[in-house]
Amino acid sequence: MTLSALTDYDEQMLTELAATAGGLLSHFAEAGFVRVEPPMIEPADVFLDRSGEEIRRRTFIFSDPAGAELALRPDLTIPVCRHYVRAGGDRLSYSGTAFRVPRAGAEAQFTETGIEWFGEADKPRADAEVLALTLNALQAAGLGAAPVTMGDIGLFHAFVDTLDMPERWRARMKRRFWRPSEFATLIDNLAEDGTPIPQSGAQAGGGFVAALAALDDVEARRAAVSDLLALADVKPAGGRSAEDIAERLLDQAEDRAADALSPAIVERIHAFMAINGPVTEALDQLKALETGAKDSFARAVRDVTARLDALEARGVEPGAISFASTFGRQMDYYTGFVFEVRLDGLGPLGQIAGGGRYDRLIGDLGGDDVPAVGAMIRPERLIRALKGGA
Amino acid sequence: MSESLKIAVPSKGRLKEQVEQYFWDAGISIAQDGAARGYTGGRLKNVPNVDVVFMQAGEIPANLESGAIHLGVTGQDLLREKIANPGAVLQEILTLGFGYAKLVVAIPKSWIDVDSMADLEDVAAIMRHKRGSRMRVATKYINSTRAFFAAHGIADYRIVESLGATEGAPNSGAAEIIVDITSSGQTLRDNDLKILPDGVMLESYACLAGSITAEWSDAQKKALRHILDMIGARAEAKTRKLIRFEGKDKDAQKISEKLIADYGCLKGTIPQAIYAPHKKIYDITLALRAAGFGTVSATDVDYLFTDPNPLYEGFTQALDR
Repeated sequence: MTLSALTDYDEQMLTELAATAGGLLSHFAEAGFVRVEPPMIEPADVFLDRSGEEIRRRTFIFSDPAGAELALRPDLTIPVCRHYVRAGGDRLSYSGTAFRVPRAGAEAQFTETGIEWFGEADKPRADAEVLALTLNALQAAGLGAAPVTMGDIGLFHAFVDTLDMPERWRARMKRRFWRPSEFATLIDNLAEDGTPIPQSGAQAGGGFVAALAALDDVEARRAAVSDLLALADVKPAGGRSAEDIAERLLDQAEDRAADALSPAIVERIHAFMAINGPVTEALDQLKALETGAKDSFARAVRDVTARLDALEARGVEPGAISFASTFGRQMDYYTGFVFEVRLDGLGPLGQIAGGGRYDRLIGDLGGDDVPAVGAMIRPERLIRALKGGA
Repeated sequence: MSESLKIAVPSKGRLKEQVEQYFWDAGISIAQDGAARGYTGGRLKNVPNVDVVFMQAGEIPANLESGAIHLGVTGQDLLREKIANPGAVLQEILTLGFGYAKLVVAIPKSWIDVDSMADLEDVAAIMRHKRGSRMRVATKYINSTRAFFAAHGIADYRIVESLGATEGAPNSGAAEIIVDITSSGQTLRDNDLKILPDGVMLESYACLAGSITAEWSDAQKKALRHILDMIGARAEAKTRKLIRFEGKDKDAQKISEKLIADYGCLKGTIPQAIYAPHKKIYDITLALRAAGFGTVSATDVDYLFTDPNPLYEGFTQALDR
């Protein structure tokens, strides 16, 4: 399967690729981005720690003779970030090969050409700058108007924080951002009876939880759990202490005793999740959801506005951009602004460019936390699209 | 290039014994060539043109996928684990009624607050948030685990490939939970683990699978028919008894037709004999009594050959597609 997805590059393809990538790189160079080329092979943990099994399944992993687990880079953002941690530099560009286990018509080996920008404190401006650079580079390469979808994961988190519900429910909602159907199920469960996970009395913990919920006093509940664990002779195992287990049982008891989510809140959630359309309309809908409080959600909405203003200042027409509150890119490390340029009718090969903000990645990779935003373009897909999708 | 049909069977362990017993029972014993302990080849008694190849059960799926062998006996769990899209390259012709095991998600008994995959997802997320590192799942079944966890929306975990006794991993600190194959669950209990009620990923039996990608000559198809006729006839016979009763042909014919229609019997060689599903023999006896046929006998059937053989037809249709 992998082998059949690998192709030869003939002279024409090589020439076109060099010209296209070269054109993109000069565009970035004019904006002050300096080219780097990090290693193609990294320790596998570098990618897997960040992203879990979903990415692992798509990554080529192998061992060296000493038994160390290595990987062919599935993208260049993480390797370039590691370079930044080692060598600094605030505006870096790159153009190199990445490798992924092919699925559903996608390539096994491909080029990524892109930029990473570190350290700019004015985040909306930097976000807009990166998007504008990407779109202008695509235009200079010959691509006409291309549909852009934008999202903002930080906005979603800030919105959830405005909802009047226990913090543990908010945490659950944020985790399910990536899976729309499970998100919907969670909201339904909370709206029905306030239990995120339907508890049946038949389950071992279920009956006990029901009894716990009947105790009014938090201290009484804590004591009951300690007694139960001692009775069951629970030895901590699998990295969870008795305290960890007790905490969850108490949470479950509180969930049982809690009221269901009010219809007003459910409506508010649905209204937010439904925002999907031209960005200026979306902005109006977001503003309508503000509560008047000067909270993180209001700030996040102001950032969306600032981003749009900065884009217009750079000559990018908002008309081509749509905003979806549920739009997220399938990389675990994005924390805020995200975008994608995708052409219709080309299936997985239609994603020509994408990027976003990942403010915690550098800290995660051993450096100090620093604002970071980047974008990448797929030159082979761009070339194919320019030729009419052949 | 050998014209023989190649069939792979497990080379060691309980599964090997059970497969040998099964083929002996079907009248086509496996006869091993060379030294008894060697992994050399063999043949099937009474079936010409067949090479028996002994290999590790875990390697049989790949050989079916590549077409290096025509037939193989291995576990359904291994077929699903080793091959991305098994239906495209092979067909499970018949499950063999032994080698039963469940592939399950097993967690420490002490996690009394976790009763479902949804609870597990919650715990995994909290673990990552608190510890910064992901919950580790020890298993040999990497692909099956990924697919199952993805279907349940769990992303906050890492697979730790298990080389030895998977069930010991949580106690030794190598992983937090496991995904493992189990039959009675006793080994899990012995290691202070419990199975999540909705964590049963797969129930697996040993099965006879045929390679769709292999080259099948007419001679090889003939050998296949022979094997499937014997196995199929033995399997069918085991589910039936031969019922005989006394009576005039015309009356016997009438009641036989009724029994065939009402109880799913198969027509016998004479009007006074039918092949009955073995669970129904008392009901059938009562029906015969009621119709005036007092003395009824039921005996075992050794082989019950049908034409066409649905096992053979089903597989050759898959080949033709």
